[in-house]
Amino acid sequence: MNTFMTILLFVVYFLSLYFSVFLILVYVDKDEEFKREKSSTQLDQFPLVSVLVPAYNEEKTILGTLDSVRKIDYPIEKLDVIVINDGSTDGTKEKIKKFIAEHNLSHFTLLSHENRGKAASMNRALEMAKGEFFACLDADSFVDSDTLRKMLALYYKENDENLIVITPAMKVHQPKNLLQKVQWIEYLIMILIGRLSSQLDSLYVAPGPFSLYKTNVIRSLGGFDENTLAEDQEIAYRLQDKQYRLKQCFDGFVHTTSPGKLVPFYKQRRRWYLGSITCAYQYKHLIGNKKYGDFGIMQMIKNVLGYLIAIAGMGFAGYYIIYPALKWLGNGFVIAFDLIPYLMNLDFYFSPLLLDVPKIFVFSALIITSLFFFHQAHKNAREKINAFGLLPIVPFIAFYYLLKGGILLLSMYEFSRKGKKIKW
Amino acid sequence: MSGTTGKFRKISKKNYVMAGIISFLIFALGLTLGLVLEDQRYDWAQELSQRQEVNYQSLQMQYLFVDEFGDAGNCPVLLSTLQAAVEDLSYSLSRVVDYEKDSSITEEDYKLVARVYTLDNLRYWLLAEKAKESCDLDIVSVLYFYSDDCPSCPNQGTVLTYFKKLLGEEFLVFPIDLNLRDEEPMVDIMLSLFEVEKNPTLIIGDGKYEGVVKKTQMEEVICTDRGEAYPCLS
Repeated sequence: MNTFMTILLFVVYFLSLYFSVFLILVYVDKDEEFKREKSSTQLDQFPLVSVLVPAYNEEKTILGTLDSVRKIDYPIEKLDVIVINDGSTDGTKEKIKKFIAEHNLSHFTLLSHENRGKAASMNRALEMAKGEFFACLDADSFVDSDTLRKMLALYYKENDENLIVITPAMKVHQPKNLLQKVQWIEYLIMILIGRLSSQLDSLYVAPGPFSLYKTNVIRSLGGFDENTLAEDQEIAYRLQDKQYRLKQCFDGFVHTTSPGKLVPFYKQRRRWYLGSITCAYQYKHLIGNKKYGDFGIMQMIKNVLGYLIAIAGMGFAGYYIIYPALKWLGNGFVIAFDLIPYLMNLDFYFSPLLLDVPKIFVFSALIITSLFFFHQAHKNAREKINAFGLLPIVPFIAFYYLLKGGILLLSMYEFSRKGKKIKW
Repeated sequence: MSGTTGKFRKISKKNYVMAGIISFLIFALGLTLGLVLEDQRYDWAQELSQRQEVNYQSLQMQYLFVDEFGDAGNCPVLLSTLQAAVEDLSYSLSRVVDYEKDSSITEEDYKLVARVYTLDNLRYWLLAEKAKESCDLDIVSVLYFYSDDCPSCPNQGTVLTYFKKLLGEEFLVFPIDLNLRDEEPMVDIMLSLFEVEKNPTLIIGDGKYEGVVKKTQMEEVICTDRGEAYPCLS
């Protein structure tokens, strides 16, 4: 068991180190470019853009969302906003109506139907959308006023007919408790990883909050998949599969409300992870497929290995932390938890010869690469490392992966039992 | 609708290879450092057992003198040498044994150093028992039979460590690893001598205690061994 765990640990170390080093190399390659890259808000043309806002029981956040849409810095006559009330049972509908009337917003349309789910709501709105582009904005998210301009400027700069989606840089909106602050750090790192993936044409998710799509292409592909758990991942995989491009607008910020309690957090992550596993399975022919460049041979493999590494990581946590902790507890009972003799005779014996150098060495390398990403991610998103104090960093490093790993494990278990039949 | 060619696709071959080389180098460096230290550790273990050897010879000599000439005046010296030697054994060599068990790649390295450790423990125990009679020493010596695969042994180990911390040099523990019976004949000899059948087993004075001896029970045993009434520990 011990030898097996040691070998497994080294395999996981190696894979993690390999992918980290690879991403750092990509970063180093593009560093100059990144420094020069300044997103422009200058546009020569103003195409018609539809903004779809699907809302289901979001009375708490909908007004903020609509207000951020109202304040988008773009000619009003070129905006076509469709708010979809997806059979809300709370006051969402009334709030939307009142908001539109209050601000006299002629470019806003309210669409109401019985509850159908988010993908179906967006598909219905997509049928009516007049824009050459459309963006979706979840009703718990808020878009910066210059984000749309930045995204369009990037689109025209790339000047590539294969380019179909511009994804935003997503931040957590006003994190309050520890769980939200930890997610805040995580999102910043995801922005940086997204920026690197974008360079490799390897984006595999078009986030729900304010991804900008070419309307005609999405329509021709049949819109969003209404049977999937994570339509924002499925559409990205589908576009990659059809050899379309997605690019990230690294400073086109949107802010999304992140769950502050464990149960909603679990629900959200279950949807993400289960959706991600389902997509990886559905598009398994892309795994290791050279026709898809870096996306096929790196990203897809990395995603699948990520699941396996997560399983192994939970195993390590059990073997190296939880099991010894239980043993400690058992040992505590036989001495009736009388620790005073121990405290009176603390033992500071130390010899460097007794350190497990290979493990420590490789682990340190991993920590250093992580710190590098951690630092760069904050710089990249223009945030200070101690924006919310240094405290959230501790659970982020020490416990958060266990929480996520646990949910991922449950999701994998669910997938293995129900397979493709999983619904919302 | 285009989108079937994927002309924009590229493969970052250079970075894949470089990442492989760098990761490999980090691993190689870590493993090499480990091997270098492995060598040093071996030398260190040699040195430790050499020191033990000299300690033991000195002790044996002291005992022979006390025994031969009935010169009880030397008993305090004998006692302190014995305590220091046992202390040294449990602080240095036992750690090497623990380390080798956890991280040694070959079983043989571990078995060898574990045998040395067991033999050292046995002869000190023997000497301690004899010296106790000749010198009327005020020490509790515990022969502790255990093995890795016994689930309750860590509990017994904790109790023993507890009293070690509490009583210091008056409490000497001599652990014997049952898993070494195939390698070290002395282990078998001890097992049949004390008719050890269960795991863990403690031999304290004339008493044999099978199964985990918990804190309060251990206090009683210690008092009995010292010939005092319970509770004898403050």
